Amino acid sequence: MSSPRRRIETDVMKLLMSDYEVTLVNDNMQEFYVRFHGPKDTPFTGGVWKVHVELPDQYPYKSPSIGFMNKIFHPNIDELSGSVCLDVINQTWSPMFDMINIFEVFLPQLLRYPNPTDPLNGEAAALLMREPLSYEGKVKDYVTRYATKEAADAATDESESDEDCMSSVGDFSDEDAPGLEL
Amino acid sequence: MPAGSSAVVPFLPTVPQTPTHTRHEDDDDNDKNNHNCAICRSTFKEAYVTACGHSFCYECITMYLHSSASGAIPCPVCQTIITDSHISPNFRLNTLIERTAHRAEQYMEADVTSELSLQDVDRMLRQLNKRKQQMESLETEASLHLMHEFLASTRSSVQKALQELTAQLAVLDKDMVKVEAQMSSLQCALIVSPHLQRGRTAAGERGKNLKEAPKRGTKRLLDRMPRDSQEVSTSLNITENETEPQPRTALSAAKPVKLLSTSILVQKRSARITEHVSELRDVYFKERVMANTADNDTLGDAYLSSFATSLSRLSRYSRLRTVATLDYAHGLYHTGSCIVSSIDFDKDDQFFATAGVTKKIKIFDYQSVLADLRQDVFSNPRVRAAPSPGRNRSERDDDTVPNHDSDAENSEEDNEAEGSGDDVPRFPILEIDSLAWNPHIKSHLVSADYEGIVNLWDSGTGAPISSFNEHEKRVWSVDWSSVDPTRFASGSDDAKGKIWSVNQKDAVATIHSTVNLCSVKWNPTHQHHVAFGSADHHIHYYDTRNLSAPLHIFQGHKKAVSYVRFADRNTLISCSTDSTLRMWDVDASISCDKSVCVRTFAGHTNAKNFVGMSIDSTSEFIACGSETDQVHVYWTGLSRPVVVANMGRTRDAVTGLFAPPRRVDEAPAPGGPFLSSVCWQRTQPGRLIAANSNGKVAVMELV
Repeated sequence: MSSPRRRIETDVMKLLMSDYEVTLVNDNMQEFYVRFHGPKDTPFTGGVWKVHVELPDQYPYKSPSIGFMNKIFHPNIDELSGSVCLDVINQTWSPMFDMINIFEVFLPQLLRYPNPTDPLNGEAAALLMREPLSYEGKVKDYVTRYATKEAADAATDESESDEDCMSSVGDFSDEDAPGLEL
Repeated sequence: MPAGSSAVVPFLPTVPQTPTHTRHEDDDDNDKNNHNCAICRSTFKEAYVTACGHSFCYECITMYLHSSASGAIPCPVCQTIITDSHISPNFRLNTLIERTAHRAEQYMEADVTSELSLQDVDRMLRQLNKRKQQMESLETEASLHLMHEFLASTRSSVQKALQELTAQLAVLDKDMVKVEAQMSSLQCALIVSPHLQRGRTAAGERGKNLKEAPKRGTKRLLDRMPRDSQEVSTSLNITENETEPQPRTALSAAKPVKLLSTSILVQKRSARITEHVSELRDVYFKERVMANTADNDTLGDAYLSSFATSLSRLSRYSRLRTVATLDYAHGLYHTGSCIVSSIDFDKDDQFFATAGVTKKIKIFDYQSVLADLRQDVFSNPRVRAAPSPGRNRSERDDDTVPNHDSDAENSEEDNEAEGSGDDVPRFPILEIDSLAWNPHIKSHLVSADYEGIVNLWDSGTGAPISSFNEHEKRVWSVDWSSVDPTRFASGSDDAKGKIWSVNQKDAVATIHSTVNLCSVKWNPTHQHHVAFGSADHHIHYYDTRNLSAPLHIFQGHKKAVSYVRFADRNTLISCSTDSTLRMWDVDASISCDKSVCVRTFAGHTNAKNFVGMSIDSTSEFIACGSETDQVHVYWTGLSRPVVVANMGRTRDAVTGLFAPPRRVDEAPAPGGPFLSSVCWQRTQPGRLIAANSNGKVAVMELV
């Protein structure tokens, strides 16, 4: 059916023409990265995240899957993989929304009003419910530590950043050491 | 919307009604009267309307209703629950869209002009023509302007280039004149004494000393010259006598002399220079122009002669010839890896010691090795006294002390000794990373091992003298101070560098760094300066009188610095696992607080291991190893290697022939052997010892 393809193309073109920084992953436009800034009136303000969006084949009937490539502390976002809870997206998804909406309305709303009843990050949900102030503090801490522009740029693929850490230390354990390990 | 409420919190600010409706459907993809279906974002095709009043294409809404698995399907726009039965065709919308489309088409084709009079048509025509001309002329003007700017800027840059080139040409002419004048005065000097001609060989300026020998002595001369020029010079001697007289100076009545520039040897050397010619040109122009602007001719002359000697030195050698080879691992039980981690010559180049991961230090007699091509083995921890040359039996291994046999026992024994309260010092032997001979006291040798223990040995008796055990992790490198014979320094994995005195059990001073220190070297003339190469990609340069902060941190390498060496008091050369060596100007870096890297040498491969680096006694050649099992020799003035040699050539034990060498540019086998250590001779230039991770040790000579 050409209608979903047309729709995917139109949406992605619109996103590319907009002010958002978009990087396509493959040429069929169904997977890409967008640089997302934390909304101003939330503890996430000032943070920069690289958001991975994947549009399924039955888009717009099925919701896209969204993941944060660098770390974010949020009840509905998995800390390790960065994927946003699919239920939460599905509950509100409508074919009327387009990609611009996701970044202008949906994600800011999600960050502003998390849903602690369906948490992917239990710690964050618990903290939010019990001590909202320390929740805010922790969010801001994560923002300063992991949501910098450089971190967002670097976080294309988690496995890459691991390799970098290892090479600088691994220099020493590998050098001249085979005898020792035997 | 309260956060944290137990009900499912919708994520839209309000239930979207008409305001958001128009916000979405008011976008730029609507043109004129067309409205688009919210699902497919294109013009409505068979519009159907839902019970809640929102229209979609028939296909879009039906697909939507069937795609959702759950029963309660919300309207895409207002989220009211709808089902199949709630949708009906929107006839009005369909006709409206049809008519709009139709009218748009009609408009495109309609002939608007049929209603105007002739005058009007003329007037309009004139106006339109004028407008057309205006637009065209604007366009041409813009293009001409751009063209003019482009030409002007190109002209100025070409002009500048021309000026530079003429300046360079002038400089070159001046220098050529000087060089030719020097050459002819040299010829004069030669012609004056005829008997000198016979002994003259094509060895260039260096040949001056050799010229004194009469013709009979040519054979002796030939012995002294590098091997590959021997045949050349014999032929040269023959041809000399046959050349036609060539008038070069006023004294042309004398015996003719052959032009130096056509001799084959010099041609070979100039071929070597041609390899590096572009880099040499850059260096020459840069410095010569600077000397020129100083407007002082003596400066220019001095630079010229120094450049000439540099060219001669640079081209002198074409390869490293293996003179002797040994097998470090011979006679030892090893579990597979016998990387030689360190080689060092003693103060007079009489002995050299090798040490590695097989936990032994072996000391060899240099002359015996050269003479016999067989190994002389003195194994640690009972190091034998040097035999007289000629005695090179390896039977000595038989009376080695039992604590070679199992290192586990070894350390246990020592542990017991320690625990029993005896005054027996501990000398456990583990894999050794680095050793160094004392440059003043002949028999003192210090070694550093994987456990962090630094041992001081007496090479005459083979007995250990003392053991320094303060480092917590493995010590990578030790070095003696060149000024104070009782002082040495060590750098370790525990991020500490320590300064020791031979007379004291505890370290004299400790430097606390943040990352592992891989290499340590004292400044050759400055008593208190020591450099540490570190895993944080920098070189920390300290003054021992003030260890709280380094004098300078040399930054520039992209990976850990594995070796640091000094070429002279002001030049530091460092080797790093980013496959480069860098040369630093120490004083300039300290004074302007910014690391001044004079040159970066690249051409070898070093990504992971310690490959060895050493500077020769003339401070002109740097040798370093490579993960391609090759020795790379760099000349300090050029950033590409001048000589590359394989370690792979070994004599076959049966036939005595060399195995065919691997081509220099062939890629190394992955996981193959890598060169792990090199060391130049201390007293004489030209010879070095290299060892690789298979335990093969080779003595090589620059020819």
